[in-house]
Amino acid sequence: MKNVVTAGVGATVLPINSLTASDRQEELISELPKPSTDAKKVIVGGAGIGGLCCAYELMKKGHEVVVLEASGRHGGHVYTTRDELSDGLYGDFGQEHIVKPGYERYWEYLKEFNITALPYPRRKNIKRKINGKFYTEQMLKDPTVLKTFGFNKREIDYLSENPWSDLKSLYTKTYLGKFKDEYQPFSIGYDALDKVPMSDIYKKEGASSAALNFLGGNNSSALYELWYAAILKMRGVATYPTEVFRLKGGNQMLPNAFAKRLGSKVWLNCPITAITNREKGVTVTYKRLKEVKEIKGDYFVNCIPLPTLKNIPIQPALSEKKQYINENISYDSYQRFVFQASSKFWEDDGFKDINMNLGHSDLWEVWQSAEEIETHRVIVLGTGPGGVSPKRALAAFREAYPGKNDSIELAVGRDWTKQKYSSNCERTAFPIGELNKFWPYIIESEGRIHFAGAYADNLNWGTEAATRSANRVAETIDRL
Amino acid sequence: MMRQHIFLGCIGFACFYFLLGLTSFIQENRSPKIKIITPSAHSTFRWNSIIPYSIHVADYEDGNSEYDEINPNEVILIVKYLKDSSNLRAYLSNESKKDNDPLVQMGKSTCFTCHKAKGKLIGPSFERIANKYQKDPKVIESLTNKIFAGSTAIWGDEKMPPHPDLSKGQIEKIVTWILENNSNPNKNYLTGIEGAIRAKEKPASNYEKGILVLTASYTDHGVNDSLQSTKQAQKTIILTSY
Repeated sequence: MKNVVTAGVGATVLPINSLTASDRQEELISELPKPSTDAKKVIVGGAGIGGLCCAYELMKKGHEVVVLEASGRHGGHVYTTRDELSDGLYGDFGQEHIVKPGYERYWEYLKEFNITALPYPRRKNIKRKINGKFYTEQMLKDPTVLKTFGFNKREIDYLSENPWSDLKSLYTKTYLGKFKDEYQPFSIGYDALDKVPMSDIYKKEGASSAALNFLGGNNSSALYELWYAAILKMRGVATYPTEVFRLKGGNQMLPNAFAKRLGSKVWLNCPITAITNREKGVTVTYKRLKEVKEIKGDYFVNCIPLPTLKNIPIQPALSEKKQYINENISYDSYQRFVFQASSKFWEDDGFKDINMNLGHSDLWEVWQSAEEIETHRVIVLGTGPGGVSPKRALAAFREAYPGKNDSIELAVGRDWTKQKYSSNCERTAFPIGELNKFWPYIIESEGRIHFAGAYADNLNWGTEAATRSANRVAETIDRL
Repeated sequence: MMRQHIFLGCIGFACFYFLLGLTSFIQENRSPKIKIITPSAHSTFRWNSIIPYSIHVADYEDGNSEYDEINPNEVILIVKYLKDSSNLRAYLSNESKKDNDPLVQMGKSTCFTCHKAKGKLIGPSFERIANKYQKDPKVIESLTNKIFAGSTAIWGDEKMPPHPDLSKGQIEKIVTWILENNSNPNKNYLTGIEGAIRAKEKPASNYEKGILVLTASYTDHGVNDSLQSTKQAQKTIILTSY
C-alpha cells in the first residue's frame, strides 16, 4: 500500500488487485470458466441486491471486483429483521415478494444457491376497506354491491367475472398488442400518448367516475402505463399477481448468498465521495474510518439509487441527459411494520387470514408472514407512511381491524423515509410527457460508468429489475 | 473587627452558594453549536458542479450530530445565490428579520421525509406547491385540513400521512410560509447534516460574479425535550465562483 497526499487530503491509493480474498474464494474463482477477454477491474457502488448480483456475475466471469457500500450492512432494500422477535420469527422490512413467471433471473439464482421459495398467500382473499366499510372478494364480485359504488354496466359485468384488482385491464387490454419488444415503448404509434395522463385513456374508454376514483392515473402518462401493462403481459404476469412467493428464512437469503460468495470483496461503511470517469479508467474516492481513500479500476458500476448518486461529484460531469434523469427521477418511500402476536387472533373473529387493506392513513395494509416457523406466535406485516411510530401504527390497526380483539404483543418498524443513504423504495412513473427524456438513457452507460440496480430496467419491480440490469451490465463489461 | 469581617464573609459565601444552587435547580437550556465543516468558508465553487456539504451540530441537551443524536431533518441549510456581493448585506439583514419559525416546525415534524424545497422527492416540491396554489384563505384552509387529517388512496395516486403532532394553527402558519417562501429560483433550503448543493450554469454575463450564501441553522429542543425556551444556532459562510 502506497500513501500519497493529494490536494491536502490524506488519500490512500489502493490498487484493486491488492485486494485480499480468502483462499476459499480464490478456489471458487479458479473453478469458474475463464473470461472472454482480459480480466477487468470493476468497482461497484452500492451493496444492494443489484450491486451484489453484478459483482457476483463479474467475479464468475473472472473479473476483479470490489463493492463499496456506504451503510454498515449489505442487502440494501432487501432486509429481513429478527431483532426483538421471539421463537426464531422474522419479518421482511424491505422486499415483499416475487412472482412466477416474471422473476426469471431471480428464480435461477434460487436454484443455483439452493434457496427455498415458499408460497405467500398474502394477496389471496383480501378484505378491503372502501368508503369506511370492509368488503370480501366475494362481495366485490356481487353486481348489487358494485352498483352501489357507481360502476357502469360494462365495469360491473367485468368485475363480476374478474378479480377486483384487475379493473385496469378492462381499459388497457385493447392497447397492448402493439408492443412487440418490452424494451421499446416508442415508434409503435403511441408516442403522442406520453403527453396524455392515463386517466384520460380511462375516460376515453368510458370509465365511470367511480372507476376513475379507484384507478387514479392522473400523474402518470398513458404511454408509460400502457408500456408497463404490456411488459407484464409479455412476461405472462397479471396486472395484480395474486400467486406470490417469498424466501424461507426471509428475502435477505438471496443478497446474503451473493455476499457470502463475494466474501471480503464487499466493503461496508465505505461511502463514495467522488468519482472520476476518465478515458482510461475510473477513480473512486471513498471514506473508510474517517479517512479519505482512493481506488482505481477499469469500470464503475453504479448500483446506488440515483437520488443518492446525484449528491456525489463526478468528474467530468455526467451529460445533461443523465443529470436531468438524476434530478427528476422519482421514487416512493414508506415504512414496514412488523407485529408479533401470540395467536392467530383473527380466527376467533371468523376470518381465515389477516390479508386486509385497512384504508387507514397510518397503516395501509396488513398480512401474515413467516408461517413456517413452528411456534404459536405469528408475524403480521404492515405498510404505512414514514414518520409514524410502530406504536401509532398498532393503534391504527386496533382502530381499523374489523374483529374484536387482537393478541399483538410487539410492534417494530423500519422507516425507509428516514434512512441516511437511499431513503427511497421503488422508482415511480416518469413525469407525464417525459418518457423520451428518461428512456432508454437511464440504462445507458456513460464513459466508463455503467448503470444497474432496481432503477435501471424497464419495469420498476425491484429485485427482478436489479438482477436483470446487473446481468446486463456484467455481460456488457465482460464483452468490452 | 476581624471577626466581623469573617462573619460577613461567611454570610456572603453562603448567599453565593445558595444562589448558585438555585440556578442549577432551575436548569437553563444551553445554546446549541453549529459548524459548516465543508465547504470551508470563503472557498470557491465551480459553475454547474455538485458541492457536497457537511454540518456539525452539538447541543448539551439534544446531543451530537456525529453520533446520530440530532434529527437530520432539523438541521436546515438555506442556500442563496447572489449575482455579486453588493446585495449581500441587504440579504443578510433581510434574512435576520424573517420569521422562519414555520420552517423550524417543519423540520421537527415529518414534512422533509417526503418533500423538498426544489425537486420531487416522494411528494411534490414546495416550489411546485407554491406555484400551483394561490395564497387565499380558502386554499390555506383546504391544504391545512389535508395535512392535518392526511389522505389515503386505495388505488389512486396521492397519499399524505396525517399530522396529529401539529395543531391546525401551526399547520396554517406552515402552509402560509410555504406559499410565501418558495417561488424564488435563487433560493433553496435543504435539510440534513450531509448533502450536496448544485451550482447553477455559468451565467452569460461576465459581470455576474456569483456568490453562494450558505446559512446552516439548528433550533434545539430545550431542557428535557420540553420545546420550551428553545435556542437557535446559526452559521453563515460565503462561497465565490471560481
